[in-house]
Amino acid sequence: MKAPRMARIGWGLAGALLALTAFVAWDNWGDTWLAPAQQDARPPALAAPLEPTAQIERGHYLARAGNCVACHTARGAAPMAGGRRIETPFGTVFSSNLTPDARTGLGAWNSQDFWQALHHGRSKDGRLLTPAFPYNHTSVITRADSDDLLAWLQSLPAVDQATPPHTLIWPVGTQAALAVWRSLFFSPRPFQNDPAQSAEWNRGAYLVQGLGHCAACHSPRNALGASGAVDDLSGGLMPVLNWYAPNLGSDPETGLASTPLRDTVQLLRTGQSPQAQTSGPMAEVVQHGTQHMTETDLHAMAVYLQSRAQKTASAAPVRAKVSLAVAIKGLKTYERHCVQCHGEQGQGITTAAGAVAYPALAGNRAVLLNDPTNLVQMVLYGGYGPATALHPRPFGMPPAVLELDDRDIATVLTHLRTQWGNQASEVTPLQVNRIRAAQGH
Amino acid sequence: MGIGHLARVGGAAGADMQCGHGGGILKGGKSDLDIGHGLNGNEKTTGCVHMDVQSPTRYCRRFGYRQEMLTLMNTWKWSPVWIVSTLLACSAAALAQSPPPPAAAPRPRFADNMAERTRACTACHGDQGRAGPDGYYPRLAGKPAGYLHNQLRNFAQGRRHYELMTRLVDPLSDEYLGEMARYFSALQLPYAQPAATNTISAERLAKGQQWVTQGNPSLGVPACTQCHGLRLTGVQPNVPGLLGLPLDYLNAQLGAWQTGQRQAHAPDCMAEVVRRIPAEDLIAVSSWLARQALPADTHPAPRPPAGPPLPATLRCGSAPELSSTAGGQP
Repeated sequence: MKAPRMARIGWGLAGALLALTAFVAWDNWGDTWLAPAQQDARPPALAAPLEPTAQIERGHYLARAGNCVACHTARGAAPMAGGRRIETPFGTVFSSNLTPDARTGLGAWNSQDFWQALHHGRSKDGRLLTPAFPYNHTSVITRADSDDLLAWLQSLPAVDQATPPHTLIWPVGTQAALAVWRSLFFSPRPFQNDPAQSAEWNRGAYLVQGLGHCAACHSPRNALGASGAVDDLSGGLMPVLNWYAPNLGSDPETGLASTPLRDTVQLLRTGQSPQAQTSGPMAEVVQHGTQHMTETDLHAMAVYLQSRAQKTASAAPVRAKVSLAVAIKGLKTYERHCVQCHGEQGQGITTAAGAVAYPALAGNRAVLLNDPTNLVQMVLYGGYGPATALHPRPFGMPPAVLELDDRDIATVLTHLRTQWGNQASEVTPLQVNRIRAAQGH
Repeated sequence: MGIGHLARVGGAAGADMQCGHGGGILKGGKSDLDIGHGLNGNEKTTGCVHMDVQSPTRYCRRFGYRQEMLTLMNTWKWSPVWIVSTLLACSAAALAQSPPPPAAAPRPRFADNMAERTRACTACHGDQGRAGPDGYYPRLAGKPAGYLHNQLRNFAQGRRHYELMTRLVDPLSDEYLGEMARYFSALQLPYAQPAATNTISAERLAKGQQWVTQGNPSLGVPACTQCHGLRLTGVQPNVPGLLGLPLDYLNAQLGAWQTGQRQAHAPDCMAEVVRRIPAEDLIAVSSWLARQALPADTHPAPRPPAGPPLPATLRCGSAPELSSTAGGQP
């Protein structure tokens, strides 16, 4: 009696697996099987532009808005020729060569191929792309913008540089695994215009959700490496890089709801504002991306971001109960290393011209973030904010990685999180040690 | 809370005490934790604050910290009334909301200038870029501006590898890096006496001198002086001096050039030169260089020494003026 029953279960499982496989395959490649029927449903390719130079310029602007160069250019190498190592929790991927080289780049690609890569996350040959390329965001981009981007890329000097193969752990990089991953976490989705909102709001939403790919960092990633939806801005710890991208919807974390729009625009344009400073990966975004955007677009993004931020404060912060030993050590480390620039009351220094030279630590949202990762990064490596056209000569902070041990850093961070009215949790040496170890120091 | 905490802190004295950063950090203003001022007073007895930048930081870390903790313990022992009242005050300060702070004293220290903007550099490279106190970080002051600018570009563009430098220069523009290079280049500071004391025979030192002053024509290696100047103080605008550098730094750079770890703009003449020198002679070269006192005139020479330019096989992308055929700047 048992054998036939087992066989039935076996057949049933096999059938279910087959159906699932068929579904995943259909989900990932189905549109190409129906290519002729689907053709009409696709946005039509634009006719040859009347002004190719204007199109190239638009494409260049869009590429900057998307900060494409950050991943698609290796250090010191030709722009957009790819080959940059990008470490992920699943191994290393190498960015593709987007220059118009026929063999190793996009030389043989037409605008439909490029649109397929942006919108469907599929290469010209139908290969599924690894989601290190944030195609859930590029899927939002309009066909017109996609064509403009390609026009700019095709105007670059061709660079013959083959992209090294990814070295992802098995089976992550396989097409089957990618297909399953995509069925779980990705479906091509053009931008949804919200008629209830203003044109400016919609423009901001389009930029934030599409080219800006803000949620790639500002949303939490799950165990399979998938970030949240394109409009999920609830904050997340960036894997490998190990910076916390704050929750853009939380006023205590980023203050976007209560920050004047002009300050948000200034932050994206110059890298700093009276309210905040950019550092770490966001400094790179400003340097290569947002500083080059028009005031109109930045304002639109600020309008959208402000509408997404909640004014309501989160639970009342709990002031850390700090032992005397920690308090003394924290104060002493602060007086040794920090007080000269950040001031005895954590007030920072402002230049005579009114620019922030060294930010105030009292009341600084970045200091009060529950996750101390960014603070530890700042203390370990110091550094400069981005030098931008409107803020070309920033002041910098010395690295302390060679000077301070875990306990020094933990106590001094606890000090500045509990002084001058600041109320945030204590930072422990163990927390510092973990963050430091993740950086390889 | 109690003596146990203090003892643990004392036992864990790590990299807490550190001079450098120019001293002058201690201040007379009021603070939430008055006990901190007591400690600061003790720091002065260690001499830490008054040491110049070249002072070994370890001295301050080890001895300064211990002395402070001992003093704290003594205070505990001899003045229970004082310490109890201070502890209460501290607890109140640490556990409760801080009272409104008094207005900060004026801060004459801050000046909106390049010295202030390069504090992230001088923390390691020494005050005004005069060289770090640890015998490794090289001097910046007075080096040719083109050379300094090229090195900053090399870090930014992946031809030199030191993570701290890369992270510092990454967010900055090429113009700003150039301004920093010109700032350090214009600083005129005296050099320290050569301090190399590694064991090396007189013959090997002579061999080193021979490489530096004559090169080896049969191996196609020009004398160091041909590009770095007869006084070895560098040549404007792109060639660095070779004197006044720590032995460890010289060894690390020659080694890095030999392995390809350090590169310059292509074509990389220095890499080619180092590859032609036998590995065992590199230490002779660095040992001889690190033993030479600076000449009276420490400025980089305005132009390369008279004589034939470098052969076509030794073109310098970072100093095209040295070559018989034009090199390439990026």
